[in-house]
Amino acid sequence: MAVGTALYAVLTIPFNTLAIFSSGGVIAVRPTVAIPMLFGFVFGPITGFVSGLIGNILSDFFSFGGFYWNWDIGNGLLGAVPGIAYFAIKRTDWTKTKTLLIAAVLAVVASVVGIGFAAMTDYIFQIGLSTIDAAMTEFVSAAGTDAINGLILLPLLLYSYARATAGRARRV
Amino acid sequence: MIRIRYFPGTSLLHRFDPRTKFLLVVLFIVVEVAFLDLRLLIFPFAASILLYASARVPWKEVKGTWKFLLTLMGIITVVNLFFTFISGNIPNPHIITAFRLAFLNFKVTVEGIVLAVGALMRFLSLTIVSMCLVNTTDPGLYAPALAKLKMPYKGAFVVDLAMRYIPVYTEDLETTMNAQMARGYSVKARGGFLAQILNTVPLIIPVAMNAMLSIYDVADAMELRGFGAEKTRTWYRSVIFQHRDYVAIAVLFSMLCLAIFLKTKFPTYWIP
Repeated sequence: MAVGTALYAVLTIPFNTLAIFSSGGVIAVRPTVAIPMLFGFVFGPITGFVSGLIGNILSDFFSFGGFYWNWDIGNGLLGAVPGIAYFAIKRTDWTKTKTLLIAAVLAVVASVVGIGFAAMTDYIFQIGLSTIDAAMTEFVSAAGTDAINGLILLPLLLYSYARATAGRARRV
Repeated sequence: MIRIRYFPGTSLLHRFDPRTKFLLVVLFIVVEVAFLDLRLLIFPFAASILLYASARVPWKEVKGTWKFLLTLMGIITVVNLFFTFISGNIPNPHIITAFRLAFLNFKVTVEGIVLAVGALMRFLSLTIVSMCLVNTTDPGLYAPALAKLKMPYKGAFVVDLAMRYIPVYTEDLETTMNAQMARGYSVKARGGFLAQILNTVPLIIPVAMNAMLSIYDVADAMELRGFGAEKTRTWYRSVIFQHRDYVAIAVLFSMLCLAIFLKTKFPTYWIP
């Protein structure tokens, strides 16, 4: 949990400067969302949730100096959802194409659930958003970028991790 | 490169109990969220600068961090400047100039400038106070302080360990970046969204794999020390409130009362 938290926080801070412009406004490119997803996939939903939650609190703390509880929980959900695989997929299957495809699908689902929660609570509690259209724009922009990031990076990270730890006897 | 770590010292901020500093950060978050009027935001902004200056953190060590954070905030401020009124938060803005660039409509308004400056001051104050906490608090004191705040010890240890690992992984990221740049890697990718994601792969994978492989060593070390065997845990180092902490807490609560009073007098945005 602590390693995932620190890793997510550290890698997110420099990548907060990456952004692209679109018709919906400015979208932050946050490739590091794949980190809590990976921790969820490999170590279970609780580890994924805590890595996303506290990692996001710390990275926001150091780069924007603020606390946005609903986005922190949303990031926690980004890590928790791929944790479903922890119970369903054996470690020996991590390098198989089918598992990598499942990881990609789970990354997309996690982005929809996590960012959906954050955008909807922004709207429900009127945190900077006053209309459902604004919430939808925010959701589509953020969930879209996170889904693409996760879709590409989670299978890559999972494969690398599985290869790097191949042959290790315990605690994987 | 960024340096988010503890710098030993003897300043008053260094000597405060970590819980007092947590309260300071919470107070600043509350005040910054509550205050909308630019004239009020000047006070916490000035206070945060004075606090940081009083900590006497070696400037040489943190110069790079601040350069990076100011660049980040500068980007956000410019973006706020152009996009604030696209979302339509304030009706009938006073437009200074409007232009179209590529497929986007940009508007520079008086209200946009005021709000962007306000947002910048808010970001800066909170970041400075966050740095006051991190740069002056021994990482070994986070867990005992959080445990005294009744946080479950495993949770306290997660935060403690994360705070210890942040400087380690920051250095790891820097080393990896330098190694990749020596092989011709460029941080700024040419191209669109996909090119930017793929460009992060040579950094994210080595740093993440190094970190994840170190988990085994950490887990072994913790297991050898019997971590998790008992429901409760004592800490080698302890934190105790001193007179100065009580005085600081009293001052912080007075500030909070003053902030609530000022909020009732100046409840919304101020546009000159």
